[in-house]
Amino acid sequence: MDGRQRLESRNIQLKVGTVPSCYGSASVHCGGTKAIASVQAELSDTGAEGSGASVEVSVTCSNMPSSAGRQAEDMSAALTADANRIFARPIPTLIKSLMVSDRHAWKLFVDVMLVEYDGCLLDVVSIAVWAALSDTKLPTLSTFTNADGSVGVELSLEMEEKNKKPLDLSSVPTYVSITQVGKHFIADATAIEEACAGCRISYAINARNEVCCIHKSEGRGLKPTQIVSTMGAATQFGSNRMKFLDKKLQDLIDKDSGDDLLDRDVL
Amino acid sequence: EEGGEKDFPVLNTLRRKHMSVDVVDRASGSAYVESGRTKVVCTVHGPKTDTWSSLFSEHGRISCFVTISAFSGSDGERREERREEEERAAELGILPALQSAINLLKYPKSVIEVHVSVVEADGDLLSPCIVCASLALAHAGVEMYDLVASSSLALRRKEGFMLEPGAGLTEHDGSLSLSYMPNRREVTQLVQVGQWEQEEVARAMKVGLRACRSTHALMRLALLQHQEKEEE
Repeated sequence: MDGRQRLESRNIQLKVGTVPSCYGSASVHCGGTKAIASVQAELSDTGAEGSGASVEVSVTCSNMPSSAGRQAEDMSAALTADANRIFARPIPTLIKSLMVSDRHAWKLFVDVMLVEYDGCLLDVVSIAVWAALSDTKLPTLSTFTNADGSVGVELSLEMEEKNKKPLDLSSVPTYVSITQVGKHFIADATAIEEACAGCRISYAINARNEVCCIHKSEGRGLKPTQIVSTMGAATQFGSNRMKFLDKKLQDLIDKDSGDDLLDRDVL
Repeated sequence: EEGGEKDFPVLNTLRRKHMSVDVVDRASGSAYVESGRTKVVCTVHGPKTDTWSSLFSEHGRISCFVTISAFSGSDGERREERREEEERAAELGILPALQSAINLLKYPKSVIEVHVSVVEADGDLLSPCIVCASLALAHAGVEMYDLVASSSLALRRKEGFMLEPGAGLTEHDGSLSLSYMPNRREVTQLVQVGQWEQEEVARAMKVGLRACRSTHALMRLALLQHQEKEEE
């Protein structure tokens, strides 16, 4: 409708570090859809079960007209559930970055706020989560053993930027939603296109072209062959988009290291 | 195709299932499904006038309510804390799977209420609930394009696919659950979690679809048997 090819992405604008008080943050504009994500971290003792390292996402839809009160809540709940599904199963490379010692690990809480809506909400939410996690720099901790044998952690005195390790996000996926409009499938639909859609299926694709999550829910049924072919298209689209986002992020980091602090604006 | 099957063998068979309809007198339609140790009852009320929504709507609405009983845990312990969350999540999972199967245009200004009660749960809840709700809707005479069959499976990379894993399955590399209308050849719902290659997804779907088809056959059998009993 806006002149793009069916599997062509809209222009994505990315900014990181938009909320300096958090460990990491990002704001993503994709066409008319805008989202801001921020990461908070807590140190936790690993319990008897599992590693204690986890990522929890929470999505809020703001700026919706008051008549759609309940709709905003439902949408927030649905997006939160879908976004969390990515992290429902432990992602080994990410968990490793979050482990501090055998007994301690970071728990990350990512809060996403959607401010404007123009289709592909889930995609933008997942990109915002990914970008905020990319921007997250956790303080380095050193471990020491107490007299009674228990392990403690203390904040390292070196708080310089270059000593903080970024998280390993090589396996963290972002969603690609393929929308069926009429007989065709398109990626990165706008709100108008979604309103005419028969159904939508979302794939979470990571940088290694693995499919991490599929979610097809409301709307008309899809034939299995269509599912397989849209999966292929989504993987292609997702991998291209990931490369584009990686490059954008690298550009931002390079620009930052040029001491351009005044360039940071929130939205 | 043969070579593909050898790479990821299916490790087990589908659970023994028992299905029957017309188990609750007062409801418009009802069904009971047993899948291994999971037991689910579903009642359907309606179509009836929709009082909740004040706007005119030319197509009907389905609303879904799930109750998980406190004694449903497979470990024998009484569950209290996370039931509400699970119930809401189940509702969000069951509703879309059924929505595209029902001809809602036939029921303007009406609502069809689907009440699902989980008596005992062993493993994946969604699939038996969707199957049970499908049967209950059919029993209630709601116009549907096809019965919705549903099944789930988990993948263990070193071994293969496990169909309908129980609550006891701890380590696995991901899972997939789908709801399918075999006569229309349409998948109404698909949820997959886990870092999989595209091939693994395609293979898992094949296995899942086959499972759905056999469940679908059992569903039809249950309805036919009920029909025969009625005619006697």
